Amino acid sequence: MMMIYKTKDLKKMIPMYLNGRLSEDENREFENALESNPELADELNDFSDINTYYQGMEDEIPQPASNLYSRVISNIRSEEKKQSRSLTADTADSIREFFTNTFSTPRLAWACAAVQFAVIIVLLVANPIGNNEDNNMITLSGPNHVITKNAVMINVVFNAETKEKEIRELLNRTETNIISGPAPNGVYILVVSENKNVETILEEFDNSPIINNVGVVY
Amino acid sequence: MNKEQSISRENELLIKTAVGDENAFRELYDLTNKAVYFYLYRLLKDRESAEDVQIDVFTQVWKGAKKFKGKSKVTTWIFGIARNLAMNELRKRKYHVNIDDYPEMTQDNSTDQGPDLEAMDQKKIIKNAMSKISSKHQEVLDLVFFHEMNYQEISDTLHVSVNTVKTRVFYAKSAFKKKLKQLRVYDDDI
Repeated sequence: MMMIYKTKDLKKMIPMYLNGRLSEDENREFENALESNPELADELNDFSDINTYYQGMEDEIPQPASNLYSRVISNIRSEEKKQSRSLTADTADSIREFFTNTFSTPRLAWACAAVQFAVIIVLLVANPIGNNEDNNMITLSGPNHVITKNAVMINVVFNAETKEKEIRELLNRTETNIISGPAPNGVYILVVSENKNVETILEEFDNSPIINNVGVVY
Repeated sequence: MNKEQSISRENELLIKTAVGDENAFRELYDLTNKAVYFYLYRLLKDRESAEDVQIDVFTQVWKGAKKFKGKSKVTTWIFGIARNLAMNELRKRKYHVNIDDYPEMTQDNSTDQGPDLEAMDQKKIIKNAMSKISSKHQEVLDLVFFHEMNYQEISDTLHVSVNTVKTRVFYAKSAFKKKLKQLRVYDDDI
């Protein structure tokens, strides 16, 4: 379909006509208009002078050096090296900065305190046995014993030189168990098995060379 | 290779360049380096600076190939990089702050005392007239008549609207015509 262009629009097409960037249709219509439009022809003439200037212009420009591509490549290589050096330096700087910032401020101390506090809370929640009043004096290394209401307990103070092996032998022989101790004054609390005679045990403890003091807990 | 095939090839080469294909980069360089060098030479007016900036331009192309979004032609994108770097170079020289603020440029100072027009043929007069118009006008005419860009491509390169490009081309033509008229009158007087 034929487009009707105004002279103003046709004039704007002149540079594109001269540089070959008009479409085939635009080119044909431009040339048709040119035959009957002297104003357009004058304008084309002005631009043609400019176009003439560019004919052979390439020959007038001094040619670039023949090694330009290799210079481009070596520039790229050197930039890449620089970038990698700067990345390494950046990493080192970041680490240095991290340590400087960490140790030069009270943040680390506060963080440690917070972690410790959190650990304490977690342990308290996870191990509520410590909150149990009946059990809070249980010797940690000893076995857990079920203590009935009628169970008899004995206070014992061992000799300072007594060996653990000797204590174990005595406890096994008498079927007694440490349930608490030592207290600051060296007292252990022992529980007597229900099938044992307390008096006999007390007598044996009294006669034992490894025990300094013995008495029933009331 | 026609224009469309060439555009598609340049795109293909840039995509390969983006993943570090040096052969593709070399081919892209071969396809575009002359035009870029010419453009730079016309902006910077000396070979050494044009070469130095050309090296930076293609270094940027290598490094920035991944960032190309395909919104314009590859050559237009490269011209955009070239223009930015050339402007930086001009700023460094403190020669001109911005090409758009360029005063009328005179390449041939001998005209101050009156050019030797006796030996000047028609082509030389045209050349002389062209050298007297501003760099801004020279640049837009270079892009139309030497680089054979359309208005949209010029707009993408210069980062101005298509209408501004059209207007600038016609102002450039008027400035050229005025200079040409002055020189021809002077020539006739002789």
